[in-house]
Amino acid sequence: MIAASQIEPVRPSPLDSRTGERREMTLHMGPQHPSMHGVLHLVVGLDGETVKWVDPDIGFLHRGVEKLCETLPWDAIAPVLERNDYLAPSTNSHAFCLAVEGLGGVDVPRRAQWLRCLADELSRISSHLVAWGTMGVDLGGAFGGGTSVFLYCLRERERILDIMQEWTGTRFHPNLSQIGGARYDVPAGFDRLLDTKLAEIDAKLDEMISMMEESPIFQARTRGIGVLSPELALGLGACGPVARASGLALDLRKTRPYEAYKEIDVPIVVRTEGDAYARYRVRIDEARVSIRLSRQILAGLPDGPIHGRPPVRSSKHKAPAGTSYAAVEGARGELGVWIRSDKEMSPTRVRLRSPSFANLSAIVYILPGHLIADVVAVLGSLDPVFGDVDR
Amino acid sequence: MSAADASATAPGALPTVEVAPGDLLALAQRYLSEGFRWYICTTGIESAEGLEVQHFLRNPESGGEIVLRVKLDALAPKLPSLYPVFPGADWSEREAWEMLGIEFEGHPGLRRLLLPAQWDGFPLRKSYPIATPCLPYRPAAEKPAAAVVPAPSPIPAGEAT
Repeated sequence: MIAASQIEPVRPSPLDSRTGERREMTLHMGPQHPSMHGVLHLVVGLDGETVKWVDPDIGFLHRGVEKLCETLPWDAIAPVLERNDYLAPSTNSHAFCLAVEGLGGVDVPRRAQWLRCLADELSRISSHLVAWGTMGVDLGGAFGGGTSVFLYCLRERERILDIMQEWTGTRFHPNLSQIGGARYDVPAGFDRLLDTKLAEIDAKLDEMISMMEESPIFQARTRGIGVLSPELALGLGACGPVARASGLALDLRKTRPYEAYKEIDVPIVVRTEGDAYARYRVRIDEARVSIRLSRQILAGLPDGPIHGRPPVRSSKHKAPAGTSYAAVEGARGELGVWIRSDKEMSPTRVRLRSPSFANLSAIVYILPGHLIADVVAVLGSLDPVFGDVDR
Repeated sequence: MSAADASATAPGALPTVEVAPGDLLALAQRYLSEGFRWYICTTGIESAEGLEVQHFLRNPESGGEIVLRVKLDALAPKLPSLYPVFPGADWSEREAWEMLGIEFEGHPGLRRLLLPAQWDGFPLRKSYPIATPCLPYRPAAEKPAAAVVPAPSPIPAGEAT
């Protein structure tokens, strides 16, 4: 047991004997650190406990996906891209298939379009649950004790994985989108299953929101922390919940509607504070909206085929020459794919515009001035996925 | 100064403006003042047409999009950095620099972003085969540059306009 008088008070950095200025301490956080959301290496310049500057060192998960895409047949690319944003896998392949279809020559039946959007909404719910849970771990005791909120969130996410297993046969990477359609139709009795599982998640969301709203520690550690101004958010290309928490009503489902969202009204969750709390709260409210949208999409699912062309032996596909950009509103924001095709067996160039990449770059601007303990709160609120950042 | 071609044939293609490297910043400023405030991304491309860089911008109010396309000299690919206008171009330009060897003049710190410090060659060039053997990992003898160079100082909100 240590007496209070024995605990060293926090001191500012020592003065440099030559210049008389405070000497900064450089602290390396990560790449192996439980709160770095994967493999981020943050180099933080500290004056005492205050962050002076931060230099993110990324690329530990760089797999050269863009180069790999230039060597694969068109049909084999979508499953590879699902490994990028691995917390919302179906959005990746969805964006790629939209981009290839944007080159022309492929018609997608309406039923397939709606199925893809349904998968996107479900993956958004599961991704936001993980974002919430990992931030709870990062903030330690903020949710009444370490890992409990993490386990609650993963337990709820299991229900989404159960739905995907029933639908596609795989829990994690459903591999639903393919060029010109969807691979799997929903099984019989799927509406009952979806309704039950989503109702269970919906009921638990209330419980989790009260854990957050009633925790003074959580409020103190996230309110007013890491404020991102709307102007800077636009200039950096921030998107998704990060942009919407800064008062920007930007949601591709609304501003650049595609597939089922052309016919469905998507309410945009916007908050104006721009701090870690707002980013966090936007995700929770969005999960709620997504539960409602999932039900709406399934209820309005059009009849018809789910492929626009024979799905087998399609690796002979040669996309028409041209360029095309398509983006979906992924769980983290604008997930875009730009393609240049020269009518070969593989694309000439595939550029992945990843939302985590743009959102993470904001940390250089919003972290200085905060305490070292706020680093994990700000990082958790940006919710980067490193498969997506490093590609 | 710029030839709006927009001769996009594919339904998914975006309206494109071709611009000479020297006119890029002025044109980007003009689009910014016209409301194209949302920076989307920057990409370097090598194709049969040679090396080029494309900047994607969007107008958050109208949803309109524009691509600024800069064709580059094959031997000395060089163009001004978009960072003074859109701070988001920082990381994307570093990526294009290390992947394709494109020089961005006026960038605050062109240094490696995704690749290890000792990487040799430009992986996204067509002349770089995908089967190029990867050097075995060895810890850098010295600290990588990323560890000692501080990040660019923050831009106050609104200064970009």
